[in-house]
Order: sequence, then C-alpha cells, then structure tokens
Amino acid sequence: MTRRFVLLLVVAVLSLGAIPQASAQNVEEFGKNLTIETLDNGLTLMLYERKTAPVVSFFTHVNVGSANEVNGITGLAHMFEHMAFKGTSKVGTKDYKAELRAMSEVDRAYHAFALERDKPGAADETKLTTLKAALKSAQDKAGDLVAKNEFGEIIDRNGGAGLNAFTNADITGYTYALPANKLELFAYLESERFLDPVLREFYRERDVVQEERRMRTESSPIGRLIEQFISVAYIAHPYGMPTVGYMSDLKRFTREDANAFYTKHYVPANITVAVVGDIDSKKALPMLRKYFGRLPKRDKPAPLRTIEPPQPAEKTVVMPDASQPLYAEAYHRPAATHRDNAVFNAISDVLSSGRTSRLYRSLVRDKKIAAFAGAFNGLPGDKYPTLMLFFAVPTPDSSNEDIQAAIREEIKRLKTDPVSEDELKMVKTQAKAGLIRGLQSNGGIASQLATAHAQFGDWREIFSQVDKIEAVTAEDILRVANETFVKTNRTVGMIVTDDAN
Amino acid sequence: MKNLKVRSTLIALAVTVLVAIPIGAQVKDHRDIKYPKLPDRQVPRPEVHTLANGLQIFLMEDHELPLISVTGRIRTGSNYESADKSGLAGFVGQVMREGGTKSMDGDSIDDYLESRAAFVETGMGGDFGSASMNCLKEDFDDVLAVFADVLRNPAFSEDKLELAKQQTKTNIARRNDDIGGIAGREFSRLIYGADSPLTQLVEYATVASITRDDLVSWHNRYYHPNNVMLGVVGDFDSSSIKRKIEAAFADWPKGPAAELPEIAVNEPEPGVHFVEKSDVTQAYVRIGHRGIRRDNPDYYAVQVMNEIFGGGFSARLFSNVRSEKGLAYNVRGTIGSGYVRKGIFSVALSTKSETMAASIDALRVEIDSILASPPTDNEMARSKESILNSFVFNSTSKRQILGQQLTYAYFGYPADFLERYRSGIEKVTKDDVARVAKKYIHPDKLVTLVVGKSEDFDRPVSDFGTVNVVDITIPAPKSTGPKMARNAETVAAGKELLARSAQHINGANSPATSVDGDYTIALTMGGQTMSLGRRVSIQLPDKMRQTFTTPMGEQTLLINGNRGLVIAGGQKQPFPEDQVGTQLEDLNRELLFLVGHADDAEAVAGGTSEMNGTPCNVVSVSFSGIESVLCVDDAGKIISQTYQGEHPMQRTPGEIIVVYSDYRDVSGYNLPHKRLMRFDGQEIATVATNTIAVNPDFDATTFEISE
Repeated sequence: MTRRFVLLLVVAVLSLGAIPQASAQNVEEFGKNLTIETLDNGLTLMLYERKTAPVVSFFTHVNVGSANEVNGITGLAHMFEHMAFKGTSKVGTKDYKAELRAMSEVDRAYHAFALERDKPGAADETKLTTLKAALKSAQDKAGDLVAKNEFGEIIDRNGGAGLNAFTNADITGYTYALPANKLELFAYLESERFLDPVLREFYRERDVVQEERRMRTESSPIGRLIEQFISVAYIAHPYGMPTVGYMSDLKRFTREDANAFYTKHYVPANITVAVVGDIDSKKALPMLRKYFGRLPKRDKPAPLRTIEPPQPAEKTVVMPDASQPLYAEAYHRPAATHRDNAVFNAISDVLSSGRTSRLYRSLVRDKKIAAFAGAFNGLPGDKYPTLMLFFAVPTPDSSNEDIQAAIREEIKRLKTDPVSEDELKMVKTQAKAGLIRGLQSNGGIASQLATAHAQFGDWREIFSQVDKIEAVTAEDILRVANETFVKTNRTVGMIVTDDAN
Repeated sequence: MKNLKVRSTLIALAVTVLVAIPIGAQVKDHRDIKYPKLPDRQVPRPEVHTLANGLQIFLMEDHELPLISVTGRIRTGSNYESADKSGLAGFVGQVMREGGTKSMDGDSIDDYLESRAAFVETGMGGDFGSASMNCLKEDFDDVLAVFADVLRNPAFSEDKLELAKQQTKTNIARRNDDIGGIAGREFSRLIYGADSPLTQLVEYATVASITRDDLVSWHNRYYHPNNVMLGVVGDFDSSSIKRKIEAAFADWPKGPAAELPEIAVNEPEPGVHFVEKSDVTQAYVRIGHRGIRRDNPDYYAVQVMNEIFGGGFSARLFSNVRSEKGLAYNVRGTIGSGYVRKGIFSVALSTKSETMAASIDALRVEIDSILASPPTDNEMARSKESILNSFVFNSTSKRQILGQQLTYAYFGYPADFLERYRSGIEKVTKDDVARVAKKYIHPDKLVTLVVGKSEDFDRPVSDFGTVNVVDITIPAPKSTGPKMARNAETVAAGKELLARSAQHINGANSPATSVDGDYTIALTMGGQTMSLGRRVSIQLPDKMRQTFTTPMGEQTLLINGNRGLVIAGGQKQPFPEDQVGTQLEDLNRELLFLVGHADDAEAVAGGTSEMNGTPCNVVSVSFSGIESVLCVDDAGKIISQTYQGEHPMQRTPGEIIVVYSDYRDVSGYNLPHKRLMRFDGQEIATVATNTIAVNPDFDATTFEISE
C-alpha cells in the first residue's frame, strides 16, 4: 500500500515537470520485458527478458554493507560475503553431521586461543603456542570433512561465468551468469546460499580477508590515504570506518559474530534478486518463487540511528609516504535520495566528465599541473549523507598546493558564475546516452534494476535520473555549490612524499 | 513419493518446451535438477568487404539499441619502436586523437564529440594500433567524418604532444608507488629480457628525445588503408553503412604494407630476483618462464591444464593455497599463450611479508604436483565441463563476436578458431594434460621474483637461490631538456638571452656588488614543514655573513677573504678553509650577481621549454666554474635556474631547480621575492623575501672575523 502511494507520488512529481517524451516511451518499452514480484516473505524478484544470446545473468542485492557494522566487528559484512561461497549443509561437505561437531571443536579451540591471546597484560607464550597448535589441529580435522569450494565448482562445471561478489559501505552484491538452460541451478544455489549458509573454514577465510586488507589498504598508498581520509571526514557515522575492517577486528571477530550478523541482516525483505537474459518470465517466475519463497520471513533490522552532524571545522589529513604526492578534498552532501542528487551529479559531470570538463581543461590541459583530475560523488557510499570528492594526481613539476589552488578556483567559479547553457546541455545529452549504453549487457541491467529497486523503491529511477538531470538549472548549481562548498564543510587529504621512510 | 511426481513433471516439461523452466517444486539436491537442452545456435559472422585501396571492413548489424560503434586495428605497435625513442608509439596513439586534425584542432573535436555524447579514441598496443568510435546512430555521419579525419590527417599538434609528455612523465615518476605494478613489470622484463622491445621502459630521457616529426613519420609509415581493418557493429543497414564508409575512405591512397619484423626472444635464465619495497605489508611473488603460442596444437590441452591448476574458484591453487592454507587473497597460475609469440607461464600470489617463503614453498609444491600426478577424473570432468558449458559466453553479443573476428583476422588465425577450440577441448584426455604439463613446465628453469619488505620475511629470499637484487631506481630527468648543441647560432642566441636577463634585473643600473637580504624559508622534510629565518649580507667578491634562525637557535657563517667562521650556540669554530672557495663561488648563483657576468659568461641557447606552465627559453650559463641552466621568458625574466648541487640538509648530491616568481622593484633592480626549490624533482623549500637592499652601506664590523 505504502509503496503504491510512493509510486503515485513519484509519477505526480515527475509529471509536474515536462517528462521528455522519449524517456517516457523508453520506460514503457523497457517495462514490457520486466516482471517484478515481491514475495510474501518480503524478497523481491525482478525478471527481465533479453534474448540476445542463450545466457542469463544474476544480481542479488542485499541491503547490508559495512555501514551496518559497529566497532569490534568492522569488516564483518565483507567477511560474510566471503563465507557465502562456502556452501550449505548439502553443498561443500563430505559428512555434515561430523563436520558440525568438528566446527564446534574449532570454535572451542579458537575461543581458548583468543582468550589467552587477549588476556590483560601479556599472554603466556608457551600456552599460546599449545593453544595455537590445538586450533590448527581442530581446523585440519574440520577441513578434512569439507568438499573444498564445491559451491563454486558446481557453478564452474555448469558453465558459470563471472562468479563474484562485492561489499561496499551500503550493500553487498552477488553476481554470476549461466547458460540460459541452467536457470534452476541458480534458483537452487542462490536460495540455499541465503537460507542455509554454513560458515565453514571461517578462521582460515579470515586469514584470507586479512590478506585482502594488506593488499588493498596497507600496501597501496591510495588505500592508506583513503582510510585516513574517511576516518577524519566522518566524526559519527559508520561511513568513517573502512569496509574491509580494521586489522584488530579481522583478527578477533568470530564465527558466532558472523552468524548473528547474517541472522540480523540477511532477511528476505533486505534481498532483491534480478535475473536478466534469455528467459521466459511466465515460466521462470513460479519456479523462482518456489525456491526463494522458502526463506523464512523475518523482521527487517532497525534503521541506522546515527546521522552525521554538521561539520563545524575544516579538517586536514597529511600523510607522509614513500610515494608520489596526491591531493584530495571533499565536502559533505546529502544522500542519493535527496532531491538535489541530480544537481550534484550534474556538478561532477561539468567538472570531470570527459576532455571538455572543467577540471581536465584547467588542471590537465592548460595549467599542466595534473596528470589526472576528477570529481566523484558518494565516498564511501550514497545511501546515507555522504561526501563529494575532488582529487588530482600532480605532475612531477607541480605540488599539492598548486593543485589545491586550481581546484579551489574551479569551485569558486561554480559558486559565482552560472554554468553555461552549452555545458548543461552537454551534461544532459551525455546522461541520456549513458542510460542507453548502460543497457548493453545482461549483468549491467541486472545490477541497475536491483539497485534502483532496493535504494529508491522503483526500477524507473534508472530512467527518471535522466529526467532529473534534464531538470537541473544553472541556478540549482549555483545554489547547491554555495550551500555545499564552504570551508568548514571541507576535509583535505594529501600524500606528501617522504623518502626518509 | 512426492519426488517422483516432481520428476515426471520436470521431464514432461523439458521435452515439450524448448528452453523449459520446470515449475514443479524445488529440488533438494542440485544433482536432481534436470536441465533442458540449450538450443543449437548459429553464431552470426560479420560481412567482410575489402575496398580498392585495401581497407578491410567487417560489418555486423545489431538493432537492439540505437548505437553504432567502430573498432579499428592498424598494423603497427609499440613493440616496433627503437629503444632510444621508447614511448614514441604510445604518443602516436594518444596525440593522434588529442592533437586534432589538419582541419579541426583537438579541443574543437572534444567539444564536437562530447556535445553528441560520442567517442573517438585512438591508442597503441604492443602488436597493433587501435582506433574506435561510438555514437548514437543519428550522429553517425558527423562522427564518422571526425573518425576518418583523425585516422587520415592527424595534426600531431605540439601542445598536445607536450601535454602527453607531461602525463607520461607523471607515470614514470609514479611507477614504483604500486607494488603490484612493480611485480608485473619486472617479471616481464626478467622473462623477455630488460632490453627486449617488448618490455623496454619509457624513461625521461627517451620522452625528451621524441619530437613531433617522429610522430608524423610514424604515421606516414604505418597508417595506410591497406594496413587498416575496421569492424562496425550496431543499429544500421549494412548496404548503406558500407557506402558511407567507402565514401569516407575510398580516396585514401594505398601505401606501403607495414613490415613488422619478428622480435627475437630468448628463453630466460633461471634465477632468483628481489626488489626491496619497504612501505608494504605484503610480499608479491611471481614464478615462471615462457609459455606457448596460441596456434600450438597443444593449446587445448594447456587450457584444460590451466583450469585444473590455477584458473577459477575450484582450481588447485585456489583450493590449496587460498582456502586450505589461507596464505593469499590473490593467487593464480596459468601457461599463457600469445597470438604472435609465446606468452608467459606465471604463478603469482601476494601474501603477508611473514609468509613470503612459506608461500613460495606452497607454490613449488603445486608446481611439482601438477607434474608428478596426472589429473584426477573429477578434475578432468570439472575443467572440461567448465570450459565447454561456458562456451556460450564467448558469443554473448554482436560486439564481442565482431571483436573476436577482427582479432583472428588481424593475427592470421582462422575465422572458425572458436569452433576449433571447442572441438579441441572435447578431445583432450588425461594423458594429454599430463603430457603438456611436463612439456611446458620446467621446474629447473623457473625465474622467481619477490617484491617486498625483506626485514619482515619469514626466511631470506636467498633460501631459494643466489639472489639478484633488481635496481628499480628511476633514472633522473636530465636537466632542462635536450643537450644544448653548441654552435655559432646557439652561442649568439645564448648571449642575447643572458643580456636580456641582465637588462630585466638591472634596469638602468650597473651590476650590483653587494646585497643585504632577510628571508623566510619553509623547508619541507619528512612530510613536515619547518620554518627558518635567513639573513644574508654579501659584499663581492669575498665577504659574506649568513645567519639562520631555527627553532633550535641561531647559526651564523662568516666568510671574509680566505677565512671562515661558524658561530652557533655561543660557540665559535673555524670554517674549513677548503670549503671557503666553494661558498664564495656559490654566491655567484644569486641572480643579482649572476647577471653581472653577462659579458664574461659563456651562454648557449637550448631552445624553448616550459616551467610551471610558463613557456621560456633555455640558456646554459657558465663562468669561473659555476654552471647553471636558466629558463628565461621572452621579456628576459628568469623563470628558473637548474644546477647540480647538494641537498641543503642531507648534503647529498643532486639536481636543484629554483623557480623564481613575484619580481618586485628594489631601488631600480627587479628582483624575485619568491623562490621554490626542488631537489631531484622533490619540492624541498619555498623562500620568501622579507626585506632586501641592493648595494647597502654595511657596518664596518659586519664581516669582521674575531675569534
């Protein structure tokens, strides 16, 4: 009922402005191939028929990301994503009953080890060595009962392509594709995966996740800077914590923590499944409904409480590093659902889309102080109030200060001079073409459908975003720029070369 | 007995519907799912035409979306550039499009295309040049005109070449920031040889040596219609699009066919190599040697072996090294196959520093085991099914199909290469896999590369053999561009430039002989900025008093004649006599005094350059042992000065660049009030002038040395 009301409202609001005819036609045309159903348990299925080749792509959007974590369990959303490849009580095991017992042994051995390791004062090294050996032996025993990577192997063998998943601050996404005749395999595996996940090999996979942190964050200059940058830009909201998690938490959260996280967040109402490709929706829908309908209905977790407060002071992060300089500055802005979202998108397009963009022409082409310069909306996500980021890579002959001055000049221009008609027109034309280009692959359509539905409550957002950009005026940009780009709302981050380290 | 009913429903449906989706009920085990047969499908092939001038076009209609795209392959490649011009082909690829054409400059093309949300891009790969366009179908004629113009009549404008050079120099400066980048680059260099055209690096020196003429002659040499293939896919009618393309290219005259010589590659020497990288917590390991060529009859068996060994979520490397041992997030290993030459057999992972050696052990175990034990039946079935069942993903869109056909045609592979691949895979046996593993993997010939922080390693790299430490230091840029050619013309021009500078600084005055200045220095060290005060009084030829004010106190250096004295913290001590001369010579680098040598200095002009976005003329100046290179604008203003000197704090030798700005009048002299100092490319200090007096009256005691 509520959803229908919102939908009507959206239509009403849109029809106040002139909807370009082409776009309305596109929506209608697109909608003909689309079937949507929200099951009784709250899970939404989206089926889109596209018969260009006998293949079908899947995207499962789970409405949970690292923003749903608190200190002590940072990195757990991502950790669960890894565990979602470990199988179920039927897939991935040689003998599930024996394996269950063996996993309990691992849990016991791990807790004994962790208790000693984290004992106030120093741990007893001899004890710790013994406990570690006991843990390893329990892990080996449990490992012997595991059919290694069977979940992935089944998909591989059946001709699966692009099996992967990702976690960001807002969501967790799971994706792959199969030959079109294997749709039921997806229905089976994907529903089982979230109905009956078995968090086997948890502590070994936790080691793998630690390696991922070392690779992405610790061994990469930009990774190091971003972690510091967001931790300073956000004072209260969990957006300030790294998605991959802090190393201490990656060494301490437990299998029980992961199970609790799953129970709380992987409720059907948080899950949207998009299936795009060579399917017959009429036949596919009842089948998918049967499989996904098995997930028990559970309450959605309470929404996040913390709202990032207004920032009263400019903040700066300077990171001495053995790498070359890098400059970034960011300003707080509202979430993607805010009415000004399209204005921010237009601003970032004017500033950084293509060789005609202002940052390219000023910093790269004319001043020749940057090898790359860009603007970006939504660091680290955009479900909640977020950051708009400006950044540039200085050339060897220029400095972070040169970059800062040039970026500020462009920001000042946005605040004082209206954007030209030509620039606005270009942004709008590109938005329309971008929409069309985004419809060239099954995988792309699937992720857009599920994301639009989950985040905005309506798949039509894929199209109406273009209409919203179409409605942006030069005055909107002036207003938003003046509201947003002020000193106290700013966080500056830079890498300063330090060879001594 | 519910199950039985379910199954019969499934079968009934599967039989009656082509791509049937059973709707009975969910199964309890994936093995119980009955799959309908995938319908037989004829993968479409592009229509191929060759124009009279030799240009080949491949056409494929795709009416799903109102878009048209063109992909071009040009017979050339960066593998064919000479070592001293490394980077040239890449500049051709970039500046061809960015530099505009003879009728439309690059910026206008940007405006023209982006207002239509269209793209025209050019680029350069190792074995081919590329050119592409993509647009809404209603803009096709407009965009095709630009595309053809870019291919045929590029202007290679100097300013866009300069821009591309600037970006390339940035990449050079940053190439050691990313550990993965280092590992990939250095491993290729070890496999193909550091001097091979396949891996030679673009350096500051090679960038500096590349001129617009080089780009033009490269284009003249390779960009002829008979060396070009264009693939067109999208929402069009083939016969009309063919006419349009013909119209755009028919009068492009045929030229000499590109001759791309075979590049000789030797097998690499086995060995252990190490690169130190101290700011990381992971070590990157690469192990391997050369792989095979794609037209090798064993290609199919090798693909099956790859699938078992190191490709995908269920391969041995993933299962044993990642899942079982938790050693790595990233681990992979395959025998690579190239179209023109052998690829690389590479086994790679990244792991925490503390398990570097344990990981090499684990990888070696896997390499030994793929050689020692033939694959299991299950592994064979899994890998073959995986390749064959996913075969349909090789042709999911017209664009993909067209791209493959272009690639096969370009490299001289048969158009039915994919079909042959499928039947080739079907025939591979367990014995084939065991045989190719032995034939193409040689544990005694492995090249091992480790990149990481050695002090954190579990065991030294030398445990795996004699270690060759790879030096990845980036050769520093030569001072201010190309070496200056010394001839009557450049000497006269140099003299004139220096005279202009003297005029700019001195105005109507005669050259200054003394100065008294007070400066604030912001010194950047170790990421920290420290503020210093500097007061300098100079009386030529041999008197100086210089006081630094630091947070730690004051320090004064006094020089008078051949004697020197240091005063710090109330303590006095003599300044080494052999360094007095050097200090006095250095005084002559002060611009105020340097231009006093306009008559007696040797000056050689070295063309034009650019400093912080300001164009300027390069002049090399030397007199009484002082050498520096100035960059002077047309008005005679000195923009920068470059010389070989010492880091002011660390005392290490290197190149110093001082950039001058904020010129102001000081009793008729025009002097810079701001300078920025760089040492070996790193900014180290900014110096602001607080007060300055030219030819002041010094107190008699100013330069007095009393011990």
